[in-house]
Amino acid sequence: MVRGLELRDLSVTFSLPGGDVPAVEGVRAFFPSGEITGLIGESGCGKSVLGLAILGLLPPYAQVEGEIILDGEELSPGESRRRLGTGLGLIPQDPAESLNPARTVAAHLREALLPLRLPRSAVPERSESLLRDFGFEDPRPVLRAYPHQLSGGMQQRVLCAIGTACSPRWVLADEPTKGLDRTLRGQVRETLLSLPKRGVEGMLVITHDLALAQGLCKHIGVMYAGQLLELGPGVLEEPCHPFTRAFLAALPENGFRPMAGAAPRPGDRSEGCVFAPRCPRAAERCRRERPGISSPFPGRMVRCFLYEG
Amino acid sequence: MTMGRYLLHKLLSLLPVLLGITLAAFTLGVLSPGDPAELALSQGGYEPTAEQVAELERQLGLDAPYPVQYLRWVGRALSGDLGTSYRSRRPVAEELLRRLPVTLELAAWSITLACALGLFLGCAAVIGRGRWPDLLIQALTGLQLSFPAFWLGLLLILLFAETLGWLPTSGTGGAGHMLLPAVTLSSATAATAARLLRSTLLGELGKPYCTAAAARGITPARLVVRNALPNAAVPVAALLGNSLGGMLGGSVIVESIFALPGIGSYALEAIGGRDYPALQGYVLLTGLIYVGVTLLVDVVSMLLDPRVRLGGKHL
Repeated sequence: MVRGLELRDLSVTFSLPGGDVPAVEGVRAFFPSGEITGLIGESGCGKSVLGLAILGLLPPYAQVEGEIILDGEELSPGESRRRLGTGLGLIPQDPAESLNPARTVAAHLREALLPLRLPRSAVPERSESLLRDFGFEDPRPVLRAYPHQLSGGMQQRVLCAIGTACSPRWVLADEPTKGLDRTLRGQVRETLLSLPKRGVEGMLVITHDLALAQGLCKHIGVMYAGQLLELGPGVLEEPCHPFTRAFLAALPENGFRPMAGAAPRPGDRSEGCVFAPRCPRAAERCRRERPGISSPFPGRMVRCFLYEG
Repeated sequence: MTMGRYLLHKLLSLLPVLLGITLAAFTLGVLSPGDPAELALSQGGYEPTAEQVAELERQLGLDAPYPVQYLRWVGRALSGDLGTSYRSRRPVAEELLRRLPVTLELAAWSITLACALGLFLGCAAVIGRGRWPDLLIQALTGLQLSFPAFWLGLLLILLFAETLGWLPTSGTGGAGHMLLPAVTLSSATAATAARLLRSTLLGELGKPYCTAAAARGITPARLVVRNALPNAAVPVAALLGNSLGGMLGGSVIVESIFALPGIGSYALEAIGGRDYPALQGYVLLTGLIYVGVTLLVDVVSMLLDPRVRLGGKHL
């Protein structure tokens, strides 16, 4: 068995008063252990929902179908939640909003260390050493501080310390650079790169920061409208799917050519390929039929008829 | 804005409120039907002559223009003189102070009960959200809110005092005497607090910091009580504080049902006896208490937020 996180036809549907809204549809993927996998896509493409589904933290009105398998063991939402802390960890998006404004950093870390069942007297020392690991040379005043007394970069590093306090085997980093400036983005990259040294086996980085993905991840998954359209190593260097190509071409450094059309609204689903209405290479068949998974070369998965057979 | 400036701002904004309270209390005496001097002399069925009334009016300064009377009245009130009760012929301030401890005790019991029950029901509803504890608590608080206090009080007396004989029906003398009145007085407040807390807690649980906290693998109870509650409690504290202000004014209904000699029942007796100085004193005292308590609650609920308490200073 190859160790890693496998998703088998994972779908998430939100049952809302106005009807069912699919957020993630039929995602089939394997994220190997020992690697950092990036999950990229536009805002609202379902990548954060996918992450929360893996952690079992979706709200009750979300229906999850399919299987999530970690190292050969199936994770039900309940099983995922049981593993939070020691097995699965989250580095959340939006540092300023992800720390509790009414609690000190020490209280956050004490709570994060609960799954380890340390003796009470060992907690302060462990908290200090965790903060030191993430670049706080003098951790004591940081422990006493409330979140609003920390800068954005400090908040992000505190969240990294909290998310990895119990050395989880898998870490999910959800938009770790969202809203941070250039210098801080560099800091976050360094911090994430240091995680494998701390006993983390695998990491899934959800981001729309392509520079971060490029600098951090070997494997990249590309999501669009709730579907995983492309996955594998070297996706950014050698894109196959027309969406990935258009997505990369839209970047300022690649010529800033905006993609025609707009992403489908949630719940707006046609028969065929989700990208067909905007795809420059769409054929008649793309609008009628949904493409299956093809493999243009070993290691690459693409959901597109161009690479069939 | 810093804490000191906020306090100053708040205190200044209280000045017109205080002015309003004194004006309202004073106008009560002016607008009241009947001549105060005549009323004061005619207690007990005695019919005074016109000369006696005029003499007393002069003594009381009632022949002066209203603004002068108002200023004199405020001046006396500031020195602690709230006039003399028509009925008992004793100083109103003294009578109010004698009865205040009963009201204070009842208010203390009631607000404690309201806090405890409100916090417990609100948190329990959210922890058991969408399941039977939530539904049960929704039904219970709905019932509490729709019960008028006088009816609840009578039912409680019927059950616990008359039928079961566990608790005394009325009067003062220890915790047992305060329990039923406090339950009656706090019931609707506890229910309102529980419902408000439920909705503010649900609002907090949708925020990113709660998702991040849940990702630490903590129990739902810990998520609600330790993480969401400190942030969700601020509006609930304000609500409870305002209720405390009202409770300290004495509950006319509860004090009279349970025959508690507090300032609420004093006000009721004053109305019955057309004892305007007593009523003026009551309005002034409860107005001041209400303003003081709401100011205190404002400050306390601001201090609950460390961003306000510690200011914006960075490490």
